[in-house]
Amino acid sequence: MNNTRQAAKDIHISDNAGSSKDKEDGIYPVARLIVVFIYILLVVSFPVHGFYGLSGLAGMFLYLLANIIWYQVSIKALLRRIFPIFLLTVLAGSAGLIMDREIYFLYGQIPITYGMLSMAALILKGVFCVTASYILSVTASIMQICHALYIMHVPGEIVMVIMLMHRYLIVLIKEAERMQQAYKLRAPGQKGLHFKVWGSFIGLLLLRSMDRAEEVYESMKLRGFCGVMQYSSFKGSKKASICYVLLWGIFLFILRVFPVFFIVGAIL
Amino acid sequence: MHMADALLTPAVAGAMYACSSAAAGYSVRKIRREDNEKKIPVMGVMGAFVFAAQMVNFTIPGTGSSGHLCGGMLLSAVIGPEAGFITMIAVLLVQGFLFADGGLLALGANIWNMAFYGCFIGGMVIWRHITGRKMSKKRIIAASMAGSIVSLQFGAFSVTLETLASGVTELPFAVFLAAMQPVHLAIGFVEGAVTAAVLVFIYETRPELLWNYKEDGQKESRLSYKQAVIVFAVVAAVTGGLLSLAASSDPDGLEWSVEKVAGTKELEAEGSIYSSAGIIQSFTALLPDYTWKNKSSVTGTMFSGIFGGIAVIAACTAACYIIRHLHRKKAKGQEDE
Amino acid sequence: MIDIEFKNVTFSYEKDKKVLHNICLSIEHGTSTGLIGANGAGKSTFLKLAVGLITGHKGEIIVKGQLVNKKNITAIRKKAGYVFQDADSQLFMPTVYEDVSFGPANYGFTKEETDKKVMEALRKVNIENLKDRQVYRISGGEKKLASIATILSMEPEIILLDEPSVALDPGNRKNLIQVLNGIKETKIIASHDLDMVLDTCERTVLLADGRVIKQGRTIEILKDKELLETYGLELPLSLQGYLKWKDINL
Repeated sequence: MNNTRQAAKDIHISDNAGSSKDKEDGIYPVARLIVVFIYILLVVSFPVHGFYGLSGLAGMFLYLLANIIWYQVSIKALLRRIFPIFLLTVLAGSAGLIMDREIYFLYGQIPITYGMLSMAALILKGVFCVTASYILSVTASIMQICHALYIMHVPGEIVMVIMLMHRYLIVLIKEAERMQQAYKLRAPGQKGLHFKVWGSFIGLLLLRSMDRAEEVYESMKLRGFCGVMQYSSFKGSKKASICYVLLWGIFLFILRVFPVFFIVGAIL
Repeated sequence: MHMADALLTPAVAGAMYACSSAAAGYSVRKIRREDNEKKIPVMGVMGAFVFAAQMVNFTIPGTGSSGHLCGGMLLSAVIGPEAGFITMIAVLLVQGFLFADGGLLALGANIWNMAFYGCFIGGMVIWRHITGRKMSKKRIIAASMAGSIVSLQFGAFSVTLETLASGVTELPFAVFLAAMQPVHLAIGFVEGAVTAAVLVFIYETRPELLWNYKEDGQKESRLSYKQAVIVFAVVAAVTGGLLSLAASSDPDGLEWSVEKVAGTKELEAEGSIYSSAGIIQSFTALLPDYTWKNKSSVTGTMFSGIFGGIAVIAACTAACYIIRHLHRKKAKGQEDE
Repeated sequence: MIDIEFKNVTFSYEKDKKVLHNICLSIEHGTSTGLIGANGAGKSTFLKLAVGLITGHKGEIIVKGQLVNKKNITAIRKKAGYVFQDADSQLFMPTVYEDVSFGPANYGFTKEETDKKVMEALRKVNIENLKDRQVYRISGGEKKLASIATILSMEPEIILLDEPSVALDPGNRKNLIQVLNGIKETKIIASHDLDMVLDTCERTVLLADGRVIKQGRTIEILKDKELLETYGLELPLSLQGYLKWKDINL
């Protein structure tokens, strides 16, 4: 039941982000999406073996840091989101720990193996990618993402489905939550739904959704819907958006090519 | 079963994007040809339904643990495989975006693993084959169970292949496979049981809602032999492609060479996918790999790295705060005017 | 002038289960008509038939001089708006503004014209301040007003409302009544909230089991305790109070 509430909360956070005047900077959502995509692409492209990947990856943290500060991202919520991917990458990386025990170098008496390095790199990759996505999700609304997809020529059908889905998410999540509450009140001590009611519970939810879809369609039809949806345009500056993509792109590329931390360290 | 960005290389992620886009393109064209205005609102609301249904906990009898629904197969049985596939894409996209479940880069792979198999193998091939000629309670249960289990097995297998093809983890193929398949067999059973229960309920209350339901005595709407062959050919091609990628994946995912793989015969059919992967590959190949040959100096390098890191982070943090402060001040100034 | 005319209309969803029996009814231009009756009396079916959401009836339905059939349906829907009982079904766009502009935009008005119509519609129902709000985050009463605005923005000549006061608190209900009284177009309000009908409609039609039992001036029908109770309704609370007060003072 908590997950339904959490989901509703996440949707609210994302929608608030999209409408908050404070964060309005005239950058098209599509530009932000592209930059995040570039970022993830570059992070993922680092090799996990050996020391180079790890050293270069560390520099990629700068992008996240700048965004976290700029958008005042809640660290607590971020950590909650990172935790599952952290576990997953630890799990995936631990295989390397066992399989690859060749020693890379000795730190005092402690041997640092290739496996350790690749595990660390993998963890960093996972955490960085999720953080980048998370920052995007708390600073752009789904409607802005729809706008971005629309600009990127994703078929209108898909964008429309996402838009309608977003509108009815809360309605149906709340419906499911009410049904679950009604069930729980009469079935104390059960962890989930008893298998005897699986069909009717989800089935009823499905029937209600279908009825809802029918009414939505009628409502659209009555207002002249003929298969094409109008989009409200996003108020932003094209120039600023292009600059945004270019500058971040160049900066990220530099981070990808040069291990900035090490170079600065060497200079200092 | 969500794939994470970190476990993929750009090449594999790009290849999976290409596969999923092709399937999406086909589905969109099919939906447009149907020319049914009602389809879009139904897909939108049903997408929200799948989202809500995924949040319901199911007690698994005899185990005390609980399971969840994925929903691709269920959706396909109600609104058809093509519409189901597009709807699942929307669901995965919103999930990826809202909950960071599977990332942006892994979206293509996730669509393929979770939506394609459920909708096209489960919904199009199996569901239609079993229930197409005659619909009955037994047939619905059989189709749901078989569809869910098979599509989840395919999905799990793809996850394994994609991960290995990326060469990010060093888990041996056999171990990974032995861990993934049985777990997803169990998950498939639960998915199948829930899907069957729901579809039987719909069949008994409002059968006309089922996608391929026909009142008795109507023409059969079974899957044509050709369609089944096409679906399986696509699956075989993609799986084969992934397999060869996995087989040829160098420990250092970057050094995988396009020519080497494209040279083998069975890959020629998938040329477009590989060439797009190749573009990404050659792009990443531009990025140099440093060699730290002199290992004795590594400790020293590391120290300078850590030191440099701290300095850069401190400088960056300060710069960000200052810029933000100035920006706010400027914005406030404009408001006051 | 007659806006809506039902001539011997019979309708059934399933065979042998008639929802409407041989309905004959005409609605004058500019009037406000209450359509009352118990649950399942056929009120919603009546409204949906008038805008062609349901088809397959026997008899003739004429809206603004045009026969309701496939050919005329687009023209009729431009003239007759329908407000759903559940505002969540009516409002499917992300924000209030986008939803209210959905109709005009589809009918091919330019951006400026659409904007003007939207602002006018929002002003009529007093929710200009909600313009940019997310639809699912406004209250039930606000949703109801917004859904009326979505219809007003298309500037229809006839407005059909299905149970508009359901699930509204007294304050929102009062506000709704004011808004409805401010709308000068022909209105048909299907409801079993008889107090609202008393406050908003000059004429009333009583439906029961798909038949028109009685029609006439609202007060004539709503004060007939016996008639109302026979058909599963009861006197409006305001009249109940009035009659009680009269009893005490007699």
